[in-house]
Amino acid sequence: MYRYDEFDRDFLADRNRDFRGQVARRLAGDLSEDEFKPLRLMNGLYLQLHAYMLRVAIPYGVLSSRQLRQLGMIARRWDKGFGHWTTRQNIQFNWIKLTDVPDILEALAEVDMHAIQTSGNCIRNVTADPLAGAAADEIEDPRVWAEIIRQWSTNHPEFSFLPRKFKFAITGALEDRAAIAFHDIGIRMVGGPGGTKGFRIYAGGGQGRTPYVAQEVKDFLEPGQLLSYLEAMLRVYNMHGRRDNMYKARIKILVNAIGVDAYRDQVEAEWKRIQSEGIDFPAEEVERIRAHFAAPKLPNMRVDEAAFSKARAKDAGFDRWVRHNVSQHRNPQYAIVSVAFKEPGRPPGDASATEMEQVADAAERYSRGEVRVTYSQNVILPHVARVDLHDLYSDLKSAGLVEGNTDLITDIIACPGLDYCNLANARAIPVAQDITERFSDPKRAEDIGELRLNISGCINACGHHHAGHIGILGVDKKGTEHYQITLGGSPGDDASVGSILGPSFPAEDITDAIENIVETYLAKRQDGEAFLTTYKRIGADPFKEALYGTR
Amino acid sequence: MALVDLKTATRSIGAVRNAIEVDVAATPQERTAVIVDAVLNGDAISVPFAKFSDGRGFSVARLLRSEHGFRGEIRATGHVIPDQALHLLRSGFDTVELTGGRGDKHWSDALASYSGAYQRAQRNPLELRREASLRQRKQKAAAGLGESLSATASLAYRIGIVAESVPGRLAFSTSLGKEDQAVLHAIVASGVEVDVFTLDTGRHFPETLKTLKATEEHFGIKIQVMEPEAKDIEELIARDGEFGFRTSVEARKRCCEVRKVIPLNRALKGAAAWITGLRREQSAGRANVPFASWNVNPDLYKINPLADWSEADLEAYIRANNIPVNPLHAEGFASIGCQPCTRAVAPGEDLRAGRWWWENEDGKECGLHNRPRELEVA
Repeated sequence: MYRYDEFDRDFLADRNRDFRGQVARRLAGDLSEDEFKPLRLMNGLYLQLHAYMLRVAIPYGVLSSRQLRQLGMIARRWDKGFGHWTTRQNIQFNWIKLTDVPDILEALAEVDMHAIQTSGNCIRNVTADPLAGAAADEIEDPRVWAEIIRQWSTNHPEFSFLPRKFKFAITGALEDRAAIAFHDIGIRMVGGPGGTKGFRIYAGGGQGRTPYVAQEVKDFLEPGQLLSYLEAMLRVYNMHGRRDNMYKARIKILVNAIGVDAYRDQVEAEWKRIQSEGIDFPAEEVERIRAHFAAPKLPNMRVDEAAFSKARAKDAGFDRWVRHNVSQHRNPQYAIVSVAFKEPGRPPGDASATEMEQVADAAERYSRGEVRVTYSQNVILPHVARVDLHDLYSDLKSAGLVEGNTDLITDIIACPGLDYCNLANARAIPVAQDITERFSDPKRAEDIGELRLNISGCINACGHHHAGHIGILGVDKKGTEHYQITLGGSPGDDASVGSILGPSFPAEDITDAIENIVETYLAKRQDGEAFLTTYKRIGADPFKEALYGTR
Repeated sequence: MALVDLKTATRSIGAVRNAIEVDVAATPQERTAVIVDAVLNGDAISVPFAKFSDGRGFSVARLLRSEHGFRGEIRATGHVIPDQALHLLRSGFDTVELTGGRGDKHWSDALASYSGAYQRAQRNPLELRREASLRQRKQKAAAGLGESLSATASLAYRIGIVAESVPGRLAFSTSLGKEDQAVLHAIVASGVEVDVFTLDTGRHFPETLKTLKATEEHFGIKIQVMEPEAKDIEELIARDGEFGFRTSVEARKRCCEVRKVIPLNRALKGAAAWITGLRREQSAGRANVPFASWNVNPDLYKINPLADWSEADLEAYIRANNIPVNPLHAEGFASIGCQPCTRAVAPGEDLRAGRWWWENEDGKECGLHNRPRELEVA
């Protein structure tokens, strides 16, 4: 992973000193709340319903065990002993005092971490494939370019006061695990002419009240041209994105208002003009950054397949965990393990300080100290020797972290909702808890199979409900919390926005409605097809009928 | 109306130039029209910020500079806050119109709040990440080279190590002082190919010029003589007078610039390493001179093979090798520069005490061996 040197540490120290000064000026009344707000947001600090919330960046989801331990320390010392994995590979602390924030930022800096640009109308933390550097289907490691984008966008003099927030996602694998189609700019690494590797660029994706799937802007871009191209894309947006209405200020609105072709024409013209301005990092600088992501030397760890099969046969829990939480590593002796913070009843993504330390222990013992955080609010151990899987399972079991199963109906993505957020219409966490408890029988969940269920407490869609196979959106109906259901969304290569099924349900009926949808699917599915496949085959009508009757 | 000058981080003094406003939503054609007006009238262009969170103005300034090539003053007006000072400067703004009660101090503090930046911008007053990486690589190489140099006491061997370690052209600047005579001897003895040059400032002692001739004959080599540009000298004398360098440090540095620094830079163009005769003992300011360091601009290694030598080491080397020296040394001149700016030193005085003796002790360098970062890079 990228390790800071003197330059990066000095920069962070400058930034933290700067923010400490801004907090002091705010407290002294030298800065109005109106002026302080964008400054604190750019340092990850929100004012929520009950307290300040600090959102800490986990750049492209990569953490070391040492950093994870420090997050645990912060949770214990300055929060109520827990943190919350967000839906964009960050972590939030929900109970923070303003006056503590400068000290927290310094504690983060001790382990080369920060909260820079985790909020505000600027370029946010870059989302990337959480399996980068380990996945079997990888073309090129996207972390190198995610880090380059992080550096380029940090404290950018021209793009720190954009019309609206701006989110990047990048994947270097065949399968998109970073939901690039739902980002302001999505980047996919692709093979180019003559065995070269470069980028395909998409723009204008997003969720919120007007969800769009991103459209292709550039078919192929050489690696040495990425930043100048992005600079051109951002300049056109900064100049022409709407500033009169915050709900129409995202780049998706611009791209769809003028059309992707017109947007591309403007970007290309600007890009041609600025290509020689030295915006792209020199090759030596790219190589310096690339060297930080060199593949780890994984020792030869032969696995006795017969013994492994026997262990699985003997222990049904271990067997199920292997089926759902272990995936293929590029090295056949190794595996990628997902630690799901989703056992029935847990607020999705909540992690206690103790759990953070337990995962850090496991990462040190079994995964070379490497941890990844996913936008689906789980944690990945990317380099686990398969011979160690049973030991790891036992350790995680005693930590209470093996009940959650990745990609099943209980692996719910949910925003913090009305329990914390002052934007929310409705609570998300209790709905998630209720649904996971309803489907808490692991055999049943497994029989239902792959099903992405996402919950957002309001139209801002932090819970990615548009991209859920089943999406639940909290709405305010005459002062009561109601929930609208969408079906057919997908975050991956077949990216699509879900369609609203019908009238919303009150909180007490939503779990029954979900169960009804699941039962309808089970009755209609053929040959073990997944929920999304069935939905695409039969359409919404059978589900509408089951829920609302024939009218 | 008061302005903050972002380049100097001070309140700008004197009359405020008239400014023509450019709309942040202007088309390129409309921006061109504003620029034509501004250039014709000698006006500034002002970019209004309706609200500090409306960041279009940053792009507008950048476009005025990079797309339209406007070189005049660009002024930010309206609602901007000190926390945006570096954003403004780096995007191409020169000044900010001060409105309301915000003091200058917040602006100067904000301009000093960062020492580095990650991305290249319109203006780059802060060290860029890529520059720091280059500096780290070069400094590491220089440190390694310094270590190799310190491992041997032989001067000729040290020159050989430099030739082996640094690919590219080696240049040696000689003032024909004792140190440089010793280095030159070692260069000749080592057989390494080095471009030897001296800076003829036009103000040297006659003894120095005689030493030049004697040295060439002694070693059987040609020393390239770099002259200042006649045009620069004419302008300098027209502005500051024949002895203007006595009136202020600034005037003195302008003289050094024309007579020494500019010709030096010409001679060093394309060189990979620059060999000097600097010694730690020469002055307090040179006490930490390394054997090898990396110089940002021009990009080259600066090699000081005599860094650790004492005066006695130097004298012994010169005697042992029968090296010709400037006769002024015998008259008490330790460090020899231009005639009007050099005097003899008393025994026990700092060896460079005879240079610009009327100035303060700190920073008495001509600019050859120390130079500031340039603001405008893009």
